[in-house]
Amino acid sequence: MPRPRHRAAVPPAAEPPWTARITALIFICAAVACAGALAPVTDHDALSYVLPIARHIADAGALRVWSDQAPSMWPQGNQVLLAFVMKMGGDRLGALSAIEWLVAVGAISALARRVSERPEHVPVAIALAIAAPVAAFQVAAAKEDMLLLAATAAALFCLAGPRTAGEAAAAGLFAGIAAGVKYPGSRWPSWRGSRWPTAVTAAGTR
Amino acid sequence: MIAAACAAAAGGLWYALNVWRFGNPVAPFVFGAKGTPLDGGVVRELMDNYGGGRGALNFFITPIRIVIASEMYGGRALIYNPLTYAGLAGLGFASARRRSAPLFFTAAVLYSGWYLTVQNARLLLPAAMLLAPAAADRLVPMMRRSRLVGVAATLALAVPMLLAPVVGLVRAGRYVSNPSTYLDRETEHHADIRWARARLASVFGDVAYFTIPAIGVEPLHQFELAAADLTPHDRFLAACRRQRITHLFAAQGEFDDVGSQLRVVYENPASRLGDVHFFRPAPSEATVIFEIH
Repeated sequence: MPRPRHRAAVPPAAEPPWTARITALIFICAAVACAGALAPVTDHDALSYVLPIARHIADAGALRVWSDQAPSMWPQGNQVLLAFVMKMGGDRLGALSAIEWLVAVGAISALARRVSERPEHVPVAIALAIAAPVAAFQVAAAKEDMLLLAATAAALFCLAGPRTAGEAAAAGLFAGIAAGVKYPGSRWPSWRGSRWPTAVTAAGTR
Repeated sequence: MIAAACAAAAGGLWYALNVWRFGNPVAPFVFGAKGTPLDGGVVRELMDNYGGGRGALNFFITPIRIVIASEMYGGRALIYNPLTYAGLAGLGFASARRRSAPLFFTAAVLYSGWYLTVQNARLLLPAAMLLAPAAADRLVPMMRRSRLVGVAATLALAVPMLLAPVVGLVRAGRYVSNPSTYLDRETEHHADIRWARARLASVFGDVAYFTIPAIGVEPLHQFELAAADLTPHDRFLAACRRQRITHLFAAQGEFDDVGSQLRVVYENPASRLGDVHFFRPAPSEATVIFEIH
């Protein structure tokens, strides 16, 4: 049995009371941000390839590379979840990424608690990680970024913890989920830069 | 070993599928996707649409360029909090290196992969997140020592922290205020799509791809034109006729030179472009749908 080596530097007893209050405020902000999921998805990338691929998966019940969706050749973990929601009749697909966002905030919080030097640094660490335009605009976008963030934080939470077989297995599981959402370390352009040629569009076929 | 096995079990499917389909686990990256037009050169060209180059010196200054020239990396809406860079100072402290070693290492791997592939700032969010705890460890003592630093850092955190709920509430408010016109207001050319779906689809059974998102197209309704067929417009229209294309969606004025071969069936002087700005009104453009004679 490997010797546990817990790297946590945050003794629970040393946590000042305001730390919990600020952390609670951050979670409230994160929860309110999910209100955007009430509306249909309007994110350009999501409408260009994320949702069409999910629709293909839902309709076909299979994983293929569709000729109108070249991005369907890379990992589709999030699109499979979206396809499941579609299959169940869900039409507020931004709710999925909103849930993933909340999970990500929780995972980041746990990671910060595990690796921060002092307990009062934890809320600042969470805020640093999520207080940014990129997070704000992705919450209800139905894209894969929030799931990737959650799985990455969870994997690193396990890697930074006690070196046990259980933590290693969980780290691997979360790393695998992250890899199944996006190519790790090698990312693809948002499809915005490669639109279809000029005006070849609204066309009916006789 | 256990971690690798669990990772392979959870995420290996996609890579195995790509080995089977294309002989490349990370298709179309690096070696392209065999049997498709996406060879290595095409993929490299697509990736080069983003970012500011891949030189050795640039590797180190790109994190700064992302902040001061964000438009090269996808725009301001896609940037993470640059205060996370303070975490790099932790590399100078043995205790921080020990505590955050897996985080620093993973962030470095993510950044290197990002730098060599698609330099879109959004894709660096996980790496920035991994620097956040070490950044907090460096920033909080400074905030305590200096009131000025404290106020500045608090503002730099509080303002973007509030952005997420503000965006969520504004988005929800816009939808609830008038759900029936929400997509017209917030997505690209949606009014045009609605018109085409109602008029053309009822006649021809389906409407194919606009330059806009949100229409899923079955392979039977797709068509392919060679690059040589795109210009001049005479040749383009001839190619459309060969493919049995009956209607054409375009910006107003774009096909004036072949106007005699087209009949206007729909005009929209202010077709909205969606998802361009969030807090400012969406820009618009004049669009038209032609019937091809």
